[in-house]
Amino acid sequence: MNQARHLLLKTLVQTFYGRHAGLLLFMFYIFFGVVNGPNLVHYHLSLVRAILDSPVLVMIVIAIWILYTVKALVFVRSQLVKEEMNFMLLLENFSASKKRTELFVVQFLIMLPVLLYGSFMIGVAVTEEKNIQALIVLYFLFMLLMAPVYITGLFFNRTQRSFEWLHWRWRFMEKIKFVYVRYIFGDLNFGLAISKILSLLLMFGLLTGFGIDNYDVRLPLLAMLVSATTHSMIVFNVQQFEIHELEFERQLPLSFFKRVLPLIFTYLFLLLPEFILIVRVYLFPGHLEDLPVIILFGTLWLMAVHAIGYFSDIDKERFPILVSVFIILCFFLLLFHLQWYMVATFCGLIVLGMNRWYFLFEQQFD
Amino acid sequence: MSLILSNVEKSFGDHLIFEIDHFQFDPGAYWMLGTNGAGKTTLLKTIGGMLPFQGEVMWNNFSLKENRRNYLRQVSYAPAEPLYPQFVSGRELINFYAECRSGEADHVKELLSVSGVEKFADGKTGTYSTGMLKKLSIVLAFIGRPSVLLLDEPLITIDKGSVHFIYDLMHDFLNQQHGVLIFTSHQTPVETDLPGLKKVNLMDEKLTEV
Repeated sequence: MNQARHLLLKTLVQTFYGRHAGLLLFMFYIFFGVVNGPNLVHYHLSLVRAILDSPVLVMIVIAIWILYTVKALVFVRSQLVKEEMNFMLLLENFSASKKRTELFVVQFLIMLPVLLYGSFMIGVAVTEEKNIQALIVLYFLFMLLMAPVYITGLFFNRTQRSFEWLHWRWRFMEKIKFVYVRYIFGDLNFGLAISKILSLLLMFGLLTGFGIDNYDVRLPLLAMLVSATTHSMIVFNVQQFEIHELEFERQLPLSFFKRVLPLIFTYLFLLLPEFILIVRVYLFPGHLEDLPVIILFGTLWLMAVHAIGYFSDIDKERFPILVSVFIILCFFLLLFHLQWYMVATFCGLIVLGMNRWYFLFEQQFD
Repeated sequence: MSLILSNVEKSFGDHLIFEIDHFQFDPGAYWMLGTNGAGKTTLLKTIGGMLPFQGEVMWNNFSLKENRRNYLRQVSYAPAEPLYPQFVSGRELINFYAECRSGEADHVKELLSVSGVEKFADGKTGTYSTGMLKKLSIVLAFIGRPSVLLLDEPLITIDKGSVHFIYDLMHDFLNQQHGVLIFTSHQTPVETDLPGLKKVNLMDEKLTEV
């Protein structure tokens, strides 16, 4: 093995598996530990058949794979931007094909769990002559393998900022009230792109995949909840940005509304594509009267999560727990048609969070 | 008019930083002394409304807790190590401060000119050196002619040639605003630049006049 590959495997692949060992072991247990030995093959055959027979399930599985790929990509990027990884820039001296080969090996090994299960799915699909499904799975596996190789290659080029094409610059935005939008579209562009893809994919799947004929406002609201959830890490980052880089705002005589409205409009703007999708796919033309509650629900959900973040220094470890509890609560309340009560509760949380916890907040040092 | 601290107590977890029963800052300049870790920055941030605390801080009958906005209109703080979003320009911050603190355009223009910030105000703060950031933070603190100025280590990272502009600003503030100026500095200030300078010491969790 050449030295470059050895270092890449050690710094990226080994670290990736080391860092995610808990999650991967959990997944392994879910897949292979809950069913006893003799039934294992039968169980997975049934599972794969069920997936292949349902376009919605295929879409969900692919969404999970995309999530895994994105997580891996974010991890690789976070490793490569570290100061101590500067030596990796030497890879730029390799020919393009050699560099791509090395990155392909890295990506192949990182994606191994997905590739193995995907291959099993393709095998089952081909055996049962479900060729279209086999081709779809093959196509996505290929894309999930090759696209990150190309993207990772861009991370090495530090002379120009990666994903410059996602840097939207509008002159009118050069005011402090647009600081959150600029932060999201600038510093969080990568995460934003991923959240958007995932959010729109899941939302589309939910709104079209169930084949429910009767209109029910809970469906778009649930889709909105799922979509808002995919944006929760953006909310966390925005809140951390506010704590650390907008600390000076605490010293300024700003009213509650002047502090909160830019954030609310930012989250509204962030969810605009989702609102358009809901209208286009589900509400239009007969049920537009439900649009206000959907807009309020999505926007204020994000803002409420932002506000709750000030309660007792919610850090990166505790934030997913908080969001999970919040989602479960919202899910059950939605089932009981309590959307307007929830909107009112979100408003209460926002007032409490941004008017009280915000000022009582201080970073905890362990 | 005076800045009054009553039963002000601040802790980080179990660690008590300071406990001030009563302290009154009358108009004038105060040089706050204290060893590293004594809590000088924490006290300035507390008075500046940036940290939660127990007790009461009042300026001109405006309580920091009860009349936060009115209080903060009069109180300005410049941090020792300023930090701003890197993609924001100095000019945007200046305009924002001027809007929040009702800063007069002529005064802002004069501040930018004497400090030299005008030259780099249109650049993103991410491209500034630490000295440029420091100058910007000091200019921001003076915008809107506050009555209470809290300057944390205003002289660090500033080049020798620019130190005089900070003293000039402090001097003008004392003569024109007749407010309270509290600053920390490990360098001995030139007393002729700040006539009537008083010293306060933060030691063993207590604040005392020296």
